[in-house]
Amino acid sequence: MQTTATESWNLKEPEIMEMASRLDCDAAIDFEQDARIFIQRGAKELVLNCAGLTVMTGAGLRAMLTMAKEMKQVEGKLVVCNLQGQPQEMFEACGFNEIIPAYSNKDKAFARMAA
Amino acid sequence: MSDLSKTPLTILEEFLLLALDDSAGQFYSFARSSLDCAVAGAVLMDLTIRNRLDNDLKDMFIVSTRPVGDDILDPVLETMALAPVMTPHPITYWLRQLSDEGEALCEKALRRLEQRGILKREDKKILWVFGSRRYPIVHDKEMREVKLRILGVILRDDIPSPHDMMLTALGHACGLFRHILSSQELAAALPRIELVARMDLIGQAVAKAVTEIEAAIAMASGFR
Repeated sequence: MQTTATESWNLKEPEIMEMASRLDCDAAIDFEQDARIFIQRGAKELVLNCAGLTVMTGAGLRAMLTMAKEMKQVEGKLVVCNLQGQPQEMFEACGFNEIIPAYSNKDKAFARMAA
Repeated sequence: MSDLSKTPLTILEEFLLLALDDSAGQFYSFARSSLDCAVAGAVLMDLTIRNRLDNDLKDMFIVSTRPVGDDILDPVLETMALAPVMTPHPITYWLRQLSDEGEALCEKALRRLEQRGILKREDKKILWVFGSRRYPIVHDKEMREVKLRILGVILRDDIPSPHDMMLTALGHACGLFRHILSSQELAAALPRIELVARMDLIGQAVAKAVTEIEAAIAMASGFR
């Protein structure tokens, strides 16, 4: 059930984090740990690519919120892209798009960050 | 709960501190059933933030039955785990179940705040007959701290922590902010309060339940 783990993430360039299929209670802990690695490396802009994310729970949303807060504390910014299906429904039902910018694809996220 | 001095306040304890009018030593005016519902919501939030419960848009589910080491939260978790094969239920189902114990949970949390030395209990008789209970604050550091934190969330654009997001949602659900903000401040902060309150699904469920309770009370009063 818990397929989102550090080893299943493809951590590409400093600013993009590929999310795996689930972001739930267990996976949220790993997600926070890995996102903090970006912050410790000095990343100021982090894009969460949710193309592969199929299930997100309340714990997953809170983990995103925690990391958005920690990014802001270092004057950085966290955004998401490619949200779809159930994760997008959760994200929007809770109004997270008002706090964490969401883009329909990676290019739009990069373009907005570069602007 | 072993050493209270080393244990941070729970969402339930902080909610009760916010709901207490420190000048009167009594709770602001809430319908008892609304308070019970908010207390139940606070307990669900405390268990959720400790990774024992999780939820999606439809249901709340138990993800771990491992005790958290809290004499208020652990018995609730134990009861929830007894539900038939831990079947997922909507948040509203658990809110209803726990609201029945709201008064007892509230009492336990107030006793703990006493043990922490934050407030004390005063029982008085009015006209030698009617009992009146007050909870004067002994040390207001914790109350001031939680108020400042929540005011920071609702009056600024800072990203709230999950804990403060939940507390804000709970406060909004039971109309707490009309007691601690002036009407002008409330009007200015309302969009932000609504935004933060919407971010938590347990808070949304508490708000819905409290609205239903208030509507039922209003309807019942109308029929008198």
